[in-house]
Amino acid sequence: MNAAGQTLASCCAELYELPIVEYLLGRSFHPGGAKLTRQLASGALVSPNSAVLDVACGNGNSARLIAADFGATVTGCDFSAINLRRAAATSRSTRLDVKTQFVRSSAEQLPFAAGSFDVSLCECSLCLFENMGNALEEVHRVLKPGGRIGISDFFLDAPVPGSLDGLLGRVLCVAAAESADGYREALTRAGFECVRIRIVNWTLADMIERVQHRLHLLATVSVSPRPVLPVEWGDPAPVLEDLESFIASGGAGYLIATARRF
Amino acid sequence: MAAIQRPYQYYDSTISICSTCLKRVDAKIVFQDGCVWMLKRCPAHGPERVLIADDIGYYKLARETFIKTPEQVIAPNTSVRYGCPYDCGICPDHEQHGCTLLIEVTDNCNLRCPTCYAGSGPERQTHRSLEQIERMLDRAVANEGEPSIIQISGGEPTVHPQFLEILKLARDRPIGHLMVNTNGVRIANEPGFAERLAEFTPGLEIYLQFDSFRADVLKALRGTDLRSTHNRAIARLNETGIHTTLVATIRRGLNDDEMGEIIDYGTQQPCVRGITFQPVQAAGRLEGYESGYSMVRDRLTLTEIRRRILEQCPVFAPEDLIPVPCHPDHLAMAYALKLDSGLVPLTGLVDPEFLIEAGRATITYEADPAVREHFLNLFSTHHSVTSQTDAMSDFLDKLGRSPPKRLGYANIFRVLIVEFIDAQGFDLRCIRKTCVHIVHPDGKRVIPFDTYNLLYRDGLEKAVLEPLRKRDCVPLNGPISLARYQDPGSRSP
Repeated sequence: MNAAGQTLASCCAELYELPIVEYLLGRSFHPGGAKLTRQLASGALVSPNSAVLDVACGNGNSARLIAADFGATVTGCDFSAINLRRAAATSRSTRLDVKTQFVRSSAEQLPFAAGSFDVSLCECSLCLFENMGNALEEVHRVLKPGGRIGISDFFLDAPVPGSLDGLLGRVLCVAAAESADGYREALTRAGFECVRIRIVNWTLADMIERVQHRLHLLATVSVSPRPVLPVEWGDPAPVLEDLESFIASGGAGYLIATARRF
Repeated sequence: MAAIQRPYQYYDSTISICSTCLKRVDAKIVFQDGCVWMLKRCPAHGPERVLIADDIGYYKLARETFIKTPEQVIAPNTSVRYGCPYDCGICPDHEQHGCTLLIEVTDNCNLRCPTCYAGSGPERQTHRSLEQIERMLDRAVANEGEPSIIQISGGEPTVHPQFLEILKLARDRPIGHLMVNTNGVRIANEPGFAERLAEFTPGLEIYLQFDSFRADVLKALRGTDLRSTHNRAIARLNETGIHTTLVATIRRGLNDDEMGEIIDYGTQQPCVRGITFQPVQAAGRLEGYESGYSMVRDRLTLTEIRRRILEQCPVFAPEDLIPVPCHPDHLAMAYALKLDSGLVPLTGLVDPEFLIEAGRATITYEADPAVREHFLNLFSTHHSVTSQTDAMSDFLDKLGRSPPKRLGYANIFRVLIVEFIDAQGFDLRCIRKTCVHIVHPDGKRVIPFDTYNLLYRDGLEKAVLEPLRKRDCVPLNGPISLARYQDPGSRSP
């Protein structure tokens, strides 16, 4: 992995370790929460017999959800050591450690043999990777023939307004997102077939509402422990409003994509 | 102290039957390891744990979303005395009319399949008389008014010496669709037979046994290599243009890897309008299993078949293969457009609400003019590409952005999964919703396919059912659901 990739991967991973991020986004860091994770896993044909790789697994919530609800065996990989420790501890305390394991790794260099997994999921993280193509090729490598990939992410079909190009926009993955066709092409280039894309913009409406509500609470009542809003973020409220109108205008949205390894 | 937790999620309680003695037993439905299980206990034969589904999300979708108000027969045939499933039928407590009614015209068959729920074969010589068959047809009409689908079955119905007269008797009655459930041997072997059948079209469809492309599989399921029979039968049906559904009986580990190939084959045959996949029902003759049929090794559920179809036929996504609302746990379907460029799934584009509210003919939606029109309207030009989901733009892409001029009923292709209920997975809630029924040869009763093969077929009623009724039943002496409900606040004295 190149130096730039490492910097970005660790920078983003550190961002997601901030208590404020969990406070604002909830335990499931991606739009759509558990409902979308279930839809994604179903779309990628996760079954009780599946060996699943959750790329950029964060605190392991989705990995545990898939282990519990689908009966699958899930390996989560993430760049953040803190997230991984937390993931492993929660799995132990919820007795899902038999079905889940967590490995520190970059998405662009997965420490697994070729053909190790039936399904690989990548929730709301693909657009954060320095080189999406490399990550997809790695996923392709570690999947068995006939295995499925499931992606959920922002897509971007118009230039990003300047106000969204900052750090908060980055947390919300908007600024770095691909176009819907871009995901399709990237998957095809990485060797996947039967690409299927579904637009799921309801997830964004839910998420923005949640973040707004949380910011409101932060400003009006005493929250304990009180997470710190980094000064350099500025006032997030106008950014969220801009984001809402950008989505409404069709400039951006959220999608899930599934595809099959040839 | 930490609370002691169950290893499962408790979902429901129900009534089942013991898979050994068929006595009614208490049961639970639980979720564990991503699967739906039934736990039950027979006082005499002990506890059982049975796989109901390997997809909790789909199971819940079927139970919680795809529910519609039950449609009833015109008049029930039996009264409720012993309680379900010992009063079939149709009894006043059944919760669905018959979408498909089978009339078994003979016990005789020109094959002797190791697996046959009806236990038919060449050694059984009984053909029903035309008078008896008329009584059975009249029973179907009396129950349903205009039965949606009557399936002439057996045995092998085409070996009946008066087979064509039977078709005439059926045609003279108000029947929506007439199907002939056949192994295709006579169609393949007898010159001119397909042409005779074609005289009954439109309105007659062939339900053609078609399990595999492999000789060893056909030998295991059918006792003989039917490949050339299949080829000749399909060729004749293509020539005569008789609408045909291929019916594949699926046995775990034998042909459950061939479903995608069967769908592909079906899309290439002009006569084929759809495929029905049925896992083997553990009933009737179950020979050819090493040391006998094994629940753990051989049983196959609907969700397992559905998953295999999705794996083997990537044109279908999970949202394309959905529960059929009249009997959602045990019927799943996908509709697609059959075009020169391949199949284009339709079901995922339709709001489930629409299908749940749709008309009466629920197994064959396409037979309902309103539904057919809706499917065909999906690709009318007023859909703007940008306003639609990606599925719709895929769809329009395949159509070349302009609908073919002569798209119609013939372009609609159906994939159906029918899981008949066995004693293992027997759930009274589902049994009350079954909608594939068999007209009893007595012409007086119509009995769900599932319970017919377990308790009512041939000698079973006397040998198995009667002792259960006598020994193990507290008579119920009346239906749970009254014909006309009184004021909800009052109780009858």
